[in-house]
Amino acid sequence: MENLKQFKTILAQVEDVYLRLPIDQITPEHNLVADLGLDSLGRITLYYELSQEMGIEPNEQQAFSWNTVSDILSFLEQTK
Amino acid sequence: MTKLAIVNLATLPHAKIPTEFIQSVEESLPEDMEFTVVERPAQLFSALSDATWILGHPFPKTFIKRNKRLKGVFFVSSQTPDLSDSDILVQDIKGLNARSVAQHAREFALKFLEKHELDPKNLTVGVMGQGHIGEMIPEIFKDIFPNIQTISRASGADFTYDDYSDFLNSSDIIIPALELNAQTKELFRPENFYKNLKEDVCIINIARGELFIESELISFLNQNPKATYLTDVTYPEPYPEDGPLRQSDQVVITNHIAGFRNDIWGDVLDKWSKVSDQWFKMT
Repeated sequence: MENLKQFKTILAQVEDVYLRLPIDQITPEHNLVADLGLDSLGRITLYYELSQEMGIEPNEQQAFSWNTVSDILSFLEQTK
Repeated sequence: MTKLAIVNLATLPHAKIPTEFIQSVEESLPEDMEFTVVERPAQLFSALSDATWILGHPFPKTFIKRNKRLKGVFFVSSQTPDLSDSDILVQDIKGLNARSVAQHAREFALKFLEKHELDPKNLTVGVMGQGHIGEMIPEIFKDIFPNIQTISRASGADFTYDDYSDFLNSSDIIIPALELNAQTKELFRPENFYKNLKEDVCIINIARGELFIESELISFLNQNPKATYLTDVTYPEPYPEDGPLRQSDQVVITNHIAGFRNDIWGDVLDKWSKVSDQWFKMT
């Protein structure tokens, strides 16, 4: 829950990322493409914002391995 | 060492920066300038994080947040992100594609006439804004549409926004030619806009998709089955195949092609040459 809250907080601050759903409706089960409508540019933008927030060196391949919100939450957990 | 990054990220083929254009830019660069072209989002960070100059399509600001070397961005677009909170020099192609965009609006209007078998002499075209495109539209339309009225905050238009409701309810075709900002978005709120429209109005959007809240627009179209929305711009772009606007037969969408006719690239290159001559002298 803590990671989801952190994710939504970061998401609310990110410019230039279009999501099909309001942030408060996002759940770990949502698929990034089918449910959130995240395109490749949005995905990579979000990834860089998250990596900046977590203070890690960007590795864009990681962004393309994400399928669901849950994958992003795992990324946040691993980079703590 | 300085570096120019060209951002060529458009997913729609017609909006891609042509190869010949990129070659011309590369050939004109100082010998000691590094040069890179970004064609995939995954390349953005490595290409933009240390670029001195950027030329190309708008990109998320995230990728230049940590760039301390960036001096200038030349957007190959009229729709540019706000970089006013930085010292970065910014240029764009506003005005260069005005005729092209106005021509596209005219083609939309002609399709509307054809579909509904209307006589243009009986219709009034309302143009919002008097920028490059807003000024070009009456010139492009006047051979077929004798009745054109304009509205603007600046003087010289037929209406001011004090008479906004009169302008709206006397316009059969409404063409916003406006920038996107808090003031212009306010013009399209339901209480200001939809409640004053004719039930069979045709809205032609060649400005910005974000001016219209999708749910409000769809609600208006559902309540007014004779109304039409013809748009070259959407939010997001490209517009999803399953997006709600595509489900309506009152809506026609073209994929942001208005400003990208083939004949604009020579003008864009001329402007880039003049701007870059000045910019590169600074380094």
